[in-house]
Amino acid sequence: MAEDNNLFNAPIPGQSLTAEPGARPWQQPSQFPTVEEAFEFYVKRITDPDINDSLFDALEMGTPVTAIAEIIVQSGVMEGKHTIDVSIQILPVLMELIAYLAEEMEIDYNMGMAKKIDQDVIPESKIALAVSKMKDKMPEEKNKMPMVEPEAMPEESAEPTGLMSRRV
Amino acid sequence: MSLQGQAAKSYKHFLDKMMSNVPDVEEPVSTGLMNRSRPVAKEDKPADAQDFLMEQFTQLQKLRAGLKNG
Repeated sequence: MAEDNNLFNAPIPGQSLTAEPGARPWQQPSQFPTVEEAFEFYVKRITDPDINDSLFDALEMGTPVTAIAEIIVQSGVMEGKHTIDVSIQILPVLMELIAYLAEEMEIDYNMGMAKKIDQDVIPESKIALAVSKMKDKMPEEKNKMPMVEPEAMPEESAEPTGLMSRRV
Repeated sequence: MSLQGQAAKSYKHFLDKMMSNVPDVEEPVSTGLMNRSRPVAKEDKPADAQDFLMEQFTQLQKLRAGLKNG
């Protein structure tokens, strides 16, 4: 995920040099060098009813389309199907294809474009900020003049003005 | 190597590009008897990978819109 910025969840420096050069699939010439070929490859796979069951399951579970598309193309790069450049170029079209298939299957999917903001949950950092602001304001209030309560004004009773009213 | 939010960025880029695309306007061709202007064939632009992808993207958008509108 994009939010996962754990520095320790990364390869060890020099790990890429532990294998022979060219031993990894992505170090070989890609199988589909053009976007047209790569897109055709994915269209066949994604629209195949035998394969896309797991895709629809993931969409129903709430996995964003962006994440699914990223995983698909990333695995394609790791298998040596295409380059990382091609994968970034075909990403939006694959997302659109997945969204179209999901709508055809009447699946309530999450595109993953808008960040959901939960209004009920207030982050602790915001609470701490608000408390510190309140504390900053408190000394100013002490220096202020003490508030004097206004004297209670006697209520003036309205004089009756009707024709039949009696004078007091 | 990992794609961290590249999908959302490139999708937004495609959407913006699609919205800014101006459709081609066909110019009327005069074919009168006294017409002296010779028709000039338009030069075909070389096929671009982005054009192909944009075309596919637009087609899928139209299909999705068709599904939504019933």
